[in-house]
Amino acid sequence: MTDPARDEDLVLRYLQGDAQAFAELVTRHRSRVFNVALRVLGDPDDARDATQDTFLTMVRKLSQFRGDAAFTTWLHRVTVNACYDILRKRRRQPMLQLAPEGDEPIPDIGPPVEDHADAAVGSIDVARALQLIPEQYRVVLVLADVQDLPYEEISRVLDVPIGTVKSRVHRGRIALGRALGLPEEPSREPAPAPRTSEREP
Amino acid sequence: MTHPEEQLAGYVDGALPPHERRAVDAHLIDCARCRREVALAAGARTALGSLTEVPAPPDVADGALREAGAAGRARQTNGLPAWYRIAGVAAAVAAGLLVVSLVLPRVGGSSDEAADRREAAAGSVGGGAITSVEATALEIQQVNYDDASLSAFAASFKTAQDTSEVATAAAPAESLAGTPRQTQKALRCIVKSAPDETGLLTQLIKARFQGAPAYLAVFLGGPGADQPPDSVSVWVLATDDCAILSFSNARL
Repeated sequence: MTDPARDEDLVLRYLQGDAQAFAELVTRHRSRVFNVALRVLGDPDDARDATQDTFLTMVRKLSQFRGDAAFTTWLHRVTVNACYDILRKRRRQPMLQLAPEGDEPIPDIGPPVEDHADAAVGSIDVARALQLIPEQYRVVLVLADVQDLPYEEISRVLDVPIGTVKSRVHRGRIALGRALGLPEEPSREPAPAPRTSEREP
Repeated sequence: MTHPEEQLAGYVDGALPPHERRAVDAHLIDCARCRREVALAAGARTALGSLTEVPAPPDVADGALREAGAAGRARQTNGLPAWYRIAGVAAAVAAGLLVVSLVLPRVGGSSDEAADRREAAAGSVGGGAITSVEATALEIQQVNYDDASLSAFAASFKTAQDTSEVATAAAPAESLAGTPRQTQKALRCIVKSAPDETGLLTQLIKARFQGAPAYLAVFLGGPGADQPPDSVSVWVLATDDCAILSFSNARL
């Protein structure tokens, strides 16, 4: 093979019965899928589960991929949905608890696991702090500031307006900054003016 | 003053077209709040850039690859255990018992106490309904919050924490207790819109946010295991559709 095939061509070849084309797609995107899941979920075992689920969904639903969006957009959407599935499973802790069904014990999620693969000092703190902000913000920050996706692309992945993406990025960064304990100047702002004066008549 | 909310992300990225950047620069001269936000956001963006890529486990897609091989030969899929297991859990979440446990009116005790209360809640709940432990949990305030006052509200817990008096210092003296029905409605919103919040709900308020009726849910988070809480999060949810109107957090 000379020129690398486009993702969309590999999808087509797989749908025509070429299992190797699927393997090539996995090789290309495995790391990206896993790292999105790791930063959204904060736990390597959960990230592994989400990655497995993402590729299983890919193998089962790829025939629904119409080619009207980029393959990576579709794959990011599947990945984020796999993460949301796992986040839903966690809703039992500790404010919200699912009553146990039968005798099955509620698994203990436990504290975040240290991410030994992160060499940079402080990156463990960043990964942990990410878990302290709302998941809506976290997902957008992971896509924007960890994966460097353009806001237009995130808007397509999440199917929300681009203004919403920009707003969530900004709000999410502020929340993360506070969770990290980044310095915040003391407020020297005067008392807010009455809201009626905001706009020209 | 209106704030260029949607442009600040691009401003921090350094990606705004020149005329928009100049407009934001001009705004920042007069707006201390946006200056603080931009500084925080820039710091957070840098911090996120320090996250290194972690190698994926090599066998993470083996199941899918096996299935792809089989599908390539037979064009059929069968035996989908992992997929159905997850679908089953999702269905259980949708249809099953949701128990909301509240530690009210304020946290300050040990987590054992919190666990006892949660157990009590789990024991008393019926099927398919959200139940609050304390029927008079919702506090109704005649206050119209905005992002600035919300930040101040979240920060006020820091001071309160120093004197072991959580939360009440920040609340206006005149607040009414909501009905159990109102409390349940507020709790449903939290279940819907803040599912990933892991802190303990310590205060639940109905007030206004930028004029719109809103719930403020205050959570204290911490390392657990009898350690004192070290963070506070305040979620602001619209009362009608539970949309997240704002969020503020602070370290204690």
